Amino acid sequence: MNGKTALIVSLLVVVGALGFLIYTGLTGNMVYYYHVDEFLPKATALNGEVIKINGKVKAGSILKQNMDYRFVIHGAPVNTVNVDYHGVVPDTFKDGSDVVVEGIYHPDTKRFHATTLLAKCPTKYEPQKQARVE
Amino acid sequence: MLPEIGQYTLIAAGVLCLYSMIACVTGARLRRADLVESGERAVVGIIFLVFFASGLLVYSLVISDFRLEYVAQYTSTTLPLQYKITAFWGGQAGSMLFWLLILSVYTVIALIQNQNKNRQLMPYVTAVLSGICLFFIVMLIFAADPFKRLIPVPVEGQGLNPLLQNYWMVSHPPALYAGYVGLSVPFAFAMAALMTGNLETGWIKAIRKWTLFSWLFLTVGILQGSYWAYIELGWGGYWAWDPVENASLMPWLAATAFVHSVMIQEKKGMLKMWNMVLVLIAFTLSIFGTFLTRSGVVSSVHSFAQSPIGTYFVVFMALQIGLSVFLLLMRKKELAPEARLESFVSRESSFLFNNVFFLVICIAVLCGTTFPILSEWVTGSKVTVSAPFFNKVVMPFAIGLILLTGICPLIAWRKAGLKNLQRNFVVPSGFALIATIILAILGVHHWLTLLFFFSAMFVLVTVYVEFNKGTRARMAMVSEGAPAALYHLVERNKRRYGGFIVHTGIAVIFIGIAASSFYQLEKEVTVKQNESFAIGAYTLKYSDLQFLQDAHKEVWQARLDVFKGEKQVAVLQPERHFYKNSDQPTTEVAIRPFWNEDLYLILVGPDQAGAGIFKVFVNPFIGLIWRGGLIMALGGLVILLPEFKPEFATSTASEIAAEEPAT
Repeated sequence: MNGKTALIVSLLVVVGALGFLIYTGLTGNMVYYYHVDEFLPKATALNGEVIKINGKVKAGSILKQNMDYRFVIHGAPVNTVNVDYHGVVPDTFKDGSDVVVEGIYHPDTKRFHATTLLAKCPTKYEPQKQARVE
Repeated sequence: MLPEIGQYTLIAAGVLCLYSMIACVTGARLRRADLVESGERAVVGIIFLVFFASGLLVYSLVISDFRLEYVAQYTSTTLPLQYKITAFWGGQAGSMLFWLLILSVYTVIALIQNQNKNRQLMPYVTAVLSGICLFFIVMLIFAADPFKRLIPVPVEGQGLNPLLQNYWMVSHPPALYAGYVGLSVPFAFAMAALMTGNLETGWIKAIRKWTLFSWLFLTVGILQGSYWAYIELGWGGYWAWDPVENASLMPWLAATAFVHSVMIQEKKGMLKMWNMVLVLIAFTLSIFGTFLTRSGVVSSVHSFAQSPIGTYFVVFMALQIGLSVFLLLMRKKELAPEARLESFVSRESSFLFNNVFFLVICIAVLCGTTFPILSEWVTGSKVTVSAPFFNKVVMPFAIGLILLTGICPLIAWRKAGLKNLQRNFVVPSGFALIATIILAILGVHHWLTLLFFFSAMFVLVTVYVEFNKGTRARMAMVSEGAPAALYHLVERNKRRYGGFIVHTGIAVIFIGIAASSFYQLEKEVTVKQNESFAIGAYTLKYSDLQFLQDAHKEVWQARLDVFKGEKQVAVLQPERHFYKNSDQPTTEVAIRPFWNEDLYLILVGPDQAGAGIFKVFVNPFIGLIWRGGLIMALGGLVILLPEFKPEFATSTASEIAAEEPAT
């Protein structure tokens, strides 16, 4: 096998490996991302799948006991989801902040059990501007 | 009046950009030196106007002129002065003006550097850089106007989030921007070379320096960002594969690939097409990164249609990529390599693989970052991937890269024989293997950690061997002492040994990443006063919680005494701050670095019964990440500094030579 063939073969191996890793990585780690308004119509059809939901924390809804949090996120004012979360919350988590929760929805109790909670970094994403648009 | 002056200044700068583009290109086409000169001089006008506009904005920020919407959005009268100034790059419109400011400074520097060099290229370089300036000016005028009036004028501004009020806000964004923008200059040179067909390697040297310069700033910027996240944000981590982080990593990867492959072009005349492609990719990614960070496209489901600057960026990128690809195809024949790869086992091919791996990682990161957008286009629903995806895909290639870092200097050019391999590889791989076995005996059994450690040790040993060999050779040849020989060795061949220093830094970073990722300890505890809890080798006794107050904020401050065995080794005081004029609390983490690990403590708060709630981490060897980063930056400086001021360097060298006999 001369140099060029060996090179082409090994480059193909690298690209193949990339394709394989991306494919298996995606199938194992894909998480659907919904806004609260999109999520609600689909809520009952999800069957315990892990998803992400984006919404705003309803003012006054945060209940806190030690590291257990219960709060409500909303899109349009009537569209709300009750969320449970255990852990340390980011500093940016507060009334009105734009959050993304990842976890599982339980249709029987109508509660979303979040395992991760992200609240958006305010400067980077200009929430003031978004607030004005809505 | 002032807001309008700002707007008119930008419009005037835009007109000058357009003039500079037209004058330079027509001047070069018609061989009219006077036109070219006039076009290049216009750049001086541009930088003056851009400086003036930036000065106006900074002045408005400093005096809290809330007639400007931007000033009201990002500052308040009570904000300390330094954060009023940093608000210049804190928001969207200001950061675009900041980009423009740096770009116009770079344009002038590039012109000064090339007053008597690369004359054929410079009109086109100037035109391309003015074109990029024009894009930002158009965006500043029509979509992200920093001088937009706010009516009615508010009494107080919205202020800056307390989370961002720390030193890192001052130095992290400018470092990243300096890096991003720096990639425009190589891009402009590449475009100029393609347009004129002047593809000799002479200009390659100019862009190599600029790419290294950008690389250095990107490296420093990225590492500062990770350190900021670690010490301030309070979630124990330093890298989350967040889109904004990825946006800075991608151009870094492309730039790193380029500074490697450019050596092959200089030495062997190979990879010309490839290098051109890398330069274009690096610039595209720097624009794309600014777009990702600033348009909000990946943060919100609907922002693509809403964010006006997003559209501008998409149009600009489409034009720029289209033009680059067209020119590349036009010059395809002229970019043919002067030599062919002779052997698979050669230094050339190890460089090639280094490049492929960097690019493959870049593609993987790009895939994961843009997956939500792509999936929404294709299927209508947004699908995200997070850290596990990136870790899984990137890790194998990262380990491959580290191994290559060690292999590359050992392997011969053109064709490496079996003897060459045996002679050079046995010692480093043997040492690395022994070190790894010792680590395993000491109790580290996680195979990935061991693999990371082996690769990193392999690099460190090869670097040591190289330094040792070179220093000994000098000592024998010119009979110098070891320190002098080492100094001169590096000084005579800064690129080679500076590169080795960078590699040392990377190996150190990898050890830090492996240890802290796979051996992190984590615990959530609720403890009553004067009770203790244990984590790792430490026992923490919760002794006090105080509620303090000053003019601006309320502070909860806990006190924990840390014992290792019987001996007290530290007092940790994690805090939470509640600002009076902001509803944003901040968590002040307490970190105690030991030589081998960081003890990292977060105060969550008191519970109803008055017990303290804490989250605590032990992060083994995490400090190596930033120490390695400092080594990398040092290596980058070694390569870069003297090349930027050749006259200065030679004069100091001769001064040193003149002083030497006296001492």
